[in-house]
Amino acid sequence: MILCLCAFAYPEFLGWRRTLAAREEIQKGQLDNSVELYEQRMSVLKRELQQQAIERIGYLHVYDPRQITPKSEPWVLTQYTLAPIITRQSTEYPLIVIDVHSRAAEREAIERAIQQKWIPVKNYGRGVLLVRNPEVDS
Amino acid sequence: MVFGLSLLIFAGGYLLLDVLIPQRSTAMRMLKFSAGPIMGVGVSTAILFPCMVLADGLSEISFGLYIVFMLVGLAGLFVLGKKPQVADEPERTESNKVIILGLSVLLLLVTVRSVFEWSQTIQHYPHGDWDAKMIWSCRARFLAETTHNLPAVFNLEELSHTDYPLLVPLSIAQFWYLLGSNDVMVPQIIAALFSISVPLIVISGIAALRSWSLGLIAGLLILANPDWVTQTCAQMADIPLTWFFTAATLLLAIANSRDKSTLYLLCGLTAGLAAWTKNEGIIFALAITIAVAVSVLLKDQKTAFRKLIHFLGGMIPVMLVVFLFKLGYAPRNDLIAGQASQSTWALLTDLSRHELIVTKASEAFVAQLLIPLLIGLGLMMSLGVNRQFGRSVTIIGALCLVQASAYYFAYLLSPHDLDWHLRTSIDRLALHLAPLLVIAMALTINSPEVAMKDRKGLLGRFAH
Repeated sequence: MILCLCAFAYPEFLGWRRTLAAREEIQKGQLDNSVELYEQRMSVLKRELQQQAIERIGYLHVYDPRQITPKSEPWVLTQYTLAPIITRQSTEYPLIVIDVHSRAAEREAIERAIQQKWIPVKNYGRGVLLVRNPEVDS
Repeated sequence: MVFGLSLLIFAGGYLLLDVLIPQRSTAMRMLKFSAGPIMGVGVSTAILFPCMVLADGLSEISFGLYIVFMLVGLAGLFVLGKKPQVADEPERTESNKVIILGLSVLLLLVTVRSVFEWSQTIQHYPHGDWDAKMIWSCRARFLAETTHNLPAVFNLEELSHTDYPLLVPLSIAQFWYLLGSNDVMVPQIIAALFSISVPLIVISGIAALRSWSLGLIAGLLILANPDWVTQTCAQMADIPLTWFFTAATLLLAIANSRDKSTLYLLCGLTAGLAAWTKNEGIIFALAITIAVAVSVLLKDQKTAFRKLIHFLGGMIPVMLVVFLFKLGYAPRNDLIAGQASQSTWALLTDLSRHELIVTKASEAFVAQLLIPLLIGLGLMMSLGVNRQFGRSVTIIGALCLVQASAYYFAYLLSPHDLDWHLRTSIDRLALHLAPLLVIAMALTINSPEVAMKDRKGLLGRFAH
């Protein structure tokens, strides 16, 4: 019975340790508020796309190697926050949202847009740009 | 409005159980209270989806139709529920108040720790894990908004895993639709409800079958799983699937013990809802159908057909909804679609794949199941073995084996990078089976009261 209690105490100890670690991160302000940040960044874009009854858009994330987030996470967050607008990781759409997280990445995105002859539609600020791809029919 | 819908769903679930489980012992009442809301959530989504098919999406028409069906169902259950209830079988063992009190205090401490861990982790991680954002809550967002017609929501080209069944997304979407906003508290509360309910149904189910002390031990073992709270906060469909696996298995054990056909109907309904929760549930539904057929045939051939019909009567309506979704809307599953590009034989005979699966499965087994098994073995030695539920334990063992084998072959034939596939999912799959093993353990060991009374196991000998 003592062995059973010891075996039982071990996961409890792990649970308390995890709880304290989470509490410490909250106290330090290290919250996973990425969805809230994306909702703030994308809210105007979403409203305007919905007003124009646009159902699908292309998506381009220009990756900055200094970022700590994995490469595909920004698309997941964009899709999640823009839903029900379908966001596809492709530039073969009439409208493309460009998502960047640093000045360097924004410069690279603008250079790429000029190179591809995409037409700027609107800069929503905070690293969100909307461009039109004239080669794809709307 | 949200309160009214919640009340309708929860009351409907409770009344459904009250009609199908006429026994009124304390354990059975607790089972109905803890399982009722979840059954209500599951059944409501199985009613909502056909309504959405009729109106091509979630709209005022489909939602109105859904509410009408729910109200009619509730009224019907209310009328049926007026039948006199029957007393359950008397408790098989005398409860030792000291043991019950000690275990209850321990359970309270673990619950407080779990709630505290949940409250901290959910603040840190409000929208859940990657898959919650990518699949479950994302699908709920698509379903709750009315921009697209229904087929567009399940276009695989543009969204991921759109073949996954809809119990979880629809349970969230119906509240988001009513609220008019994607309130993050909805998936959090639904995930917490499922999570709290699993230990509660195990405690009450084992108490109905064996004794309160064993029920409390089983509940403790489920909450002692190091991943339980983490997975609850992840807001994926694995805890709901675990709930349906656990409930169907418990109901089958109770049905075999009480010999009541309505319990088989409820077991069938629960198994059907497992298939409506995740693709893994479809395998479970098939496996438990065979398990029910074998167990009723072995028990009494005269009543076997009636019991099997009741079981299928509970399962088939939900399976029809699953087929409606799978055949009418869902694209091919990525694991199946990927098979064409690779040679199945080459994958089956690749020894390195077998080695990797066994290694990762062993790690997941150690992380999730080793502690309950160690405690179970310790209790078996301390309390002695009970063979009364041998058949139910064999059935549970066979169900776990079939399910684990299906997972093994799914990994073996996976078209994805195997290491990534295992790394991102095997812990969750082990979680599906953990409560089933705890139930099997609780049915196998003697209750502490019996061990002390009949001098069984080390505890019984020590007590005398």
